[in-house]
Amino acid sequence: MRRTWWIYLIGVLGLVAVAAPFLWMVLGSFKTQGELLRVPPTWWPQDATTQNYGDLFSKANFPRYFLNSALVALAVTAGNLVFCSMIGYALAKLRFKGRNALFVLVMATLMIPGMVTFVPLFVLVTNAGLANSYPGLILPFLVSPFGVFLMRQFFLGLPDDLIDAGRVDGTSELGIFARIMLPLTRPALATLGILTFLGSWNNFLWPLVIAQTEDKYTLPVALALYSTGQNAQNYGLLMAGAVVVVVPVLVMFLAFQRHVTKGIAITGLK
Amino acid sequence: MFSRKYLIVVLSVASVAMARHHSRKYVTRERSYADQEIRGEPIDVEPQTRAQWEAVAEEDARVGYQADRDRGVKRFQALFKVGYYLPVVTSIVAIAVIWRFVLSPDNGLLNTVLGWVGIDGPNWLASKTWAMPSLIAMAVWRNFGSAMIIFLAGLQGIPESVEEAGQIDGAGPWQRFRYLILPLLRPTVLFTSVTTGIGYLQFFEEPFVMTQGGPLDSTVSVSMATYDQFGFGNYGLATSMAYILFVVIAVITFIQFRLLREK
Repeated sequence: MRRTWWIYLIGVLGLVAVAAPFLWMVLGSFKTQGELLRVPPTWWPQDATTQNYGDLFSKANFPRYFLNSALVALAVTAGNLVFCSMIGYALAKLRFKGRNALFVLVMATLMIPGMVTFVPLFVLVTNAGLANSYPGLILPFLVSPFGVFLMRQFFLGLPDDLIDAGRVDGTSELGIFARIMLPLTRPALATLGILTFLGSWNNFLWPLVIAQTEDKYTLPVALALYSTGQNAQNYGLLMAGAVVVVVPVLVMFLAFQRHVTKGIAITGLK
Repeated sequence: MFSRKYLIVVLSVASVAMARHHSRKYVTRERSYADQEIRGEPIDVEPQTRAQWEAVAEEDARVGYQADRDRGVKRFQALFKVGYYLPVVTSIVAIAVIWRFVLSPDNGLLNTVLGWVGIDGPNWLASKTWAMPSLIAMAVWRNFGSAMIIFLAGLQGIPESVEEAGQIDGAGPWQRFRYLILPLLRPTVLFTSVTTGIGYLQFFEEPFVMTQGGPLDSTVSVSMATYDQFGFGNYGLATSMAYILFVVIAVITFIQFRLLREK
């Protein structure tokens, strides 16, 4: 500790800078509109109120947005766990013609910026009659090249002997995958699941264009539109809304943080 | 050319990570065998059952986590990691909303803090001069954690013997960093700059929520302009803009590879 105290000092100052806006948000969500406009600002709410959270229910339809976000995120996560593990397994352990070409193709799609596919995807989904629907929100994200890559890499590390043993014992190919191999990938599945959930929960551009009526909004869309629309001056409501968007992510992240940071270290992707 | 190189980086980083991951598993298992031997217990050479394989996999995850704190700031490292990483996993929209209040001119957090030291902060987001720097500062604040995690992984990949060798040769802390650690970190620097570059060349949510591209279009990004054209129904124009962005990203990534390649 002798020579490293200043490292800790810098680290703690940085943490304060990171935490301050979050603290500001939580404290602000309990202040009245009048107090939020006061100059100079107050730190602790003088007359703390839960009015802002009440407004989320009465003035805005936040429970609905919350359920939409949760539904989409859970469906997308489930889809990724199922499909990415299956494709990853096939690319890692099954021998078939064109396997490597297929893998390169999957990796190539990782490089295309989201903005490029955004308009064609929108036209595609709209022409399929899925605009403003839950399938429209969920389907395009059911499988991700990042997830395929992650699962493939993990499957590569498992020994082929397990598969051979299963075959000798007469287990079906599906049984080998589902009952022998898949249970071994639990750490990778946890990483994939949590990253996918967070990504879907925070996804913005796609639900912004595909959810056209208010009842299909996800939380980030609702928050963004409230903050730029007629409620832009209702600061307390926006602070409380931001808390509702942030807190579930915070809880999930704290519960699964080692899977998240490990996934980032492996892939460098968000 | 670009695509292949990018692919190679993604693959090599991942394979290095995976290789380290597996060498750790090997080391732990070896160690536990040694323990068993000392205690006179029978040694099972390979995990036989599924339960054992699962145990190995779990152990793997845990050891990887513990190995992360073997050097430097040891105490509270988990706290630092989680703390700095928090903004990365938070919705950009929520962060942009919060930062609008932080940057608000009269009673925002930033101007209040600046007021303590006698600085009269500007109206950040309404100023043509300050709007863009404000968005950039927020982006740095938000992305700090992901770069930190990647660098942490990169630094932990450098064996301690490298620093020891430098110490023996009489290199000071700065020299050790500049001439030993930094060159070895080149792949990490490249990886971070490429992924961050690709991500932020598509900068969108921040201006969308905080400034709507204003004041006077000073914070319009390519993605923002693309979205606007899309909103007007000009799909062709929007897609063309996105493709030009794609080309620009490819070129910039290529330049980064040239500048940071191994010499």
